[in-house]
Amino acid sequence: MSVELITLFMFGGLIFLLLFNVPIAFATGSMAVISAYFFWSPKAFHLFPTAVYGMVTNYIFVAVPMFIFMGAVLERSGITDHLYEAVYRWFGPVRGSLAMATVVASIIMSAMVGVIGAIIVSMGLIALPSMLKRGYDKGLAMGSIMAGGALGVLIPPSIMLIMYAMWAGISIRKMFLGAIVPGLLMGGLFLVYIGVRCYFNPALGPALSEEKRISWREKLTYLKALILPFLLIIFVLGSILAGIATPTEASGIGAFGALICAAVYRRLNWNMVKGACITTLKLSAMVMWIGFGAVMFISVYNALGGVTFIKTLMLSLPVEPWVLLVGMMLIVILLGMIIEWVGIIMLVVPIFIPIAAALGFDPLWFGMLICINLQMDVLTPPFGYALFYMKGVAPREITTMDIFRASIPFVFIQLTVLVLAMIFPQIVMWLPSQV
Amino acid sequence: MNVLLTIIDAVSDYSGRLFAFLCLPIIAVIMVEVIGRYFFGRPFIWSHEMTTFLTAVLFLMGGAMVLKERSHICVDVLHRLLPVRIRALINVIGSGFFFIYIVVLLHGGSGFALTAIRIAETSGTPWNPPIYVVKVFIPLATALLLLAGIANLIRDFRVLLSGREET
Repeated sequence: MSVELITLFMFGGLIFLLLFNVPIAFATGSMAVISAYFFWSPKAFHLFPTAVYGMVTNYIFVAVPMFIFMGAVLERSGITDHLYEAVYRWFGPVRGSLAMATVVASIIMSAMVGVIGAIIVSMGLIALPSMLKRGYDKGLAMGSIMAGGALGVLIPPSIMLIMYAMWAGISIRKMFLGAIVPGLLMGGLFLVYIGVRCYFNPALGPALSEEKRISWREKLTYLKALILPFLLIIFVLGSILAGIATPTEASGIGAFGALICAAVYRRLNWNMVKGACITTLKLSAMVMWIGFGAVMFISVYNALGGVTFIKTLMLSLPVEPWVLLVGMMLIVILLGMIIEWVGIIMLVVPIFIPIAAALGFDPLWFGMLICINLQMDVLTPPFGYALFYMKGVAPREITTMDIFRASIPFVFIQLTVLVLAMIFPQIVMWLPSQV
Repeated sequence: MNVLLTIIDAVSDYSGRLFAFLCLPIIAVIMVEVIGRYFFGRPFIWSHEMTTFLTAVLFLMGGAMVLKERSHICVDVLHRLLPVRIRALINVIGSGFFFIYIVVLLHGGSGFALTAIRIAETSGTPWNPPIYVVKVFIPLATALLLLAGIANLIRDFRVLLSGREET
């Protein structure tokens, strides 16, 4: 069968299975098995366990469960409450202060946890009721929580950056460095957006009343509770970014340090540790089983000549490189509507990286564009994960449409950052080139 | 039949709970490695591989628990809008694809592990541990997934026949 038809069969079949509610981990795996059987040879099945073994015994991947564990323990030690409390006291007199505090607290949380669910669920339980109670616009309130939570997948230590770095053969340290400026830029634009809207229309987010405002001395006491987690983040991320420790070592230290933080806050107990362990096992297994299926899928597709076919096809188009870049970004956006980010990274990276290399794009810059793009994907209706987590914690009277509408302005801000990073590569490249 | 489902559920659940605790020894081994490397100038010969082996088992053994809870990530937005019976029918058809994959992986993985045991394969590093201890977890984890998948299939069949969501 020709490679065109194989491409159509494999990707068409994959999308069909996904729409048939087959989990992506098994949809990719079964398409790999079926395609290998019909177009290659059942002997190819021997590749599958080897691929699984290669993935699970990769030293770099140890950082995935360790960072998940660190985030799960920190989240369970009540740091979110302290953090939100402290930040919003600081923002008190500003219009829209609670929504801004949500974004700032989420940025800080993002440096502790590398996955999206934890931030949205905990901020949704703490920040949403307090905003709605004070008469905040529900769209702005939910939007700031979801957008802030989405930053968790971009700001290091992020599981997405680790998976991308590993699969694309870029150093995790470089990916982390490259993500800092775009992540903070995005968070900054969220704050500007909230600030501007509330400044011109105070009804959206009224400032705290006079008696709720507090003195500088009190503001400082609120910070005291945050010293330990701050030190931990600085130590963990700092040792990776400075190149002192490997990401795996730093993640293990982070997990251990999180337990110490919890002990200091007197939240360390057996049930909490057990809960963190189970969360870690489940999230790691979800990511990895998608990884197994996707690796098998793409290995079979590659062996059947698919990767070379797409590369030749793309490069033969009579267009400028930037058109191809925009095209690849659009493909990632479209795939993002039905495939989870792990799957996209595993499926798309081996196809796109040779094309990007042939076009002379810097691999780090290109990788960061994909990651910014995928971060946008978690917030984009109708299949964004941020929206599902939000729906899970929102009060009953809030409809799915409310949540979709709340996300839209923030999706445009994310898109703006993606476009800016495409036009001005320095946004990504400046920090990695400094160290 | 209910006894069978209860047993499979318990296996999926407790295998997950048990192997989740691997997080703690992984942290401990990394700490030992870090202390060895930065305080005594050299890591222990076993710590690096031990970390990856423990993590490999953690990655593999979580699959069944996640499947039992039906939390493997899928696109279920359209699916949720459908009537219960049609949803169950779609699940039954879709599980065919799941079984194709899992059976092939179980078969391949068993051969992979058995070969490693037969030739007493070791890793070839200075520590040189036998690596079948990790490889056997590939067919084991796949077998647990297969069981959890069978339990899900039985439940979907029941819903298909009765038209009622089981609680």
